[in-house]
Amino acid sequence: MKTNTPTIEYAPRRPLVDISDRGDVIVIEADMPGVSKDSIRAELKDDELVIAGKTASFEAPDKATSLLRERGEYEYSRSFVLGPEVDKASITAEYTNGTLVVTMKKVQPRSYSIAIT
Amino acid sequence: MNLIRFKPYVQWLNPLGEIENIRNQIDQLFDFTLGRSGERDPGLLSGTWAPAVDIYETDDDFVVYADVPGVAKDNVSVEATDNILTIKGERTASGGDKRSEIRSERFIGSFTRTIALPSEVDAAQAKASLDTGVLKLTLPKKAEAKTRAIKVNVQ
Repeated sequence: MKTNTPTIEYAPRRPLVDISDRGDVIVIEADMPGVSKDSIRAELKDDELVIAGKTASFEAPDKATSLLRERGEYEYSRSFVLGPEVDKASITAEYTNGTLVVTMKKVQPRSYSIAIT
Repeated sequence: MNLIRFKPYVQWLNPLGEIENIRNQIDQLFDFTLGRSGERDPGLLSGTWAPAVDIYETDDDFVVYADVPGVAKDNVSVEATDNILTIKGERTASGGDKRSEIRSERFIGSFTRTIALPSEVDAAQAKASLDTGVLKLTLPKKAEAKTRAIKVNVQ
């Protein structure tokens, strides 16, 4: 029987993010719980920042019956286009408590007055 | 022959059932395209967070996993009385006063999830650990709740 609900098994999941301006830095926080440390990555290609990770393969306890399953094994991926206000050389990322935190410095706005001759 | 789901009562008692179904499917579509996380949308109670959990039962324990990303160890608490398990916690916004939102999708604030387990647990012997945003609880069953093999005498 056909159902109209989309299957999500193979589509990478977009992690929920908060992006905030902290004065001198811009911070992206992405929720990716249970991701294995070796699968997590952040890449910058031209202006596009890609964060990705895969949940660690899960082993159920021995001889267990499952009573409720809401969590899943996911591949996370999300990309962001960075504007000129971000210093691309300054990007750092840290994975703590299941949240990937990407920090980038802001480029100080420059203004010139142009002499008119 | 077509297979049609047999739901004699639902339509009857709830004429809005079909509309609700359509709503649910649209919600699912949005969840899918926006990449929302595993928790079900609580409808009118949106803006709350009940972490997604897995529960397993072994002969001696219940093992519970809950996704609580971005929550520090000190900000989670677990209580178990009889067979009721409550996971409580708070996720705080990082950055303090300097933080000005550009995009805000994650839930910030306190959350709670209450689960009724099939039998009583021994809270004093429970173990909890938090790793990569996943809370793992091992709750031993009370002795009297464990499965016993009963010998049946056939005459």
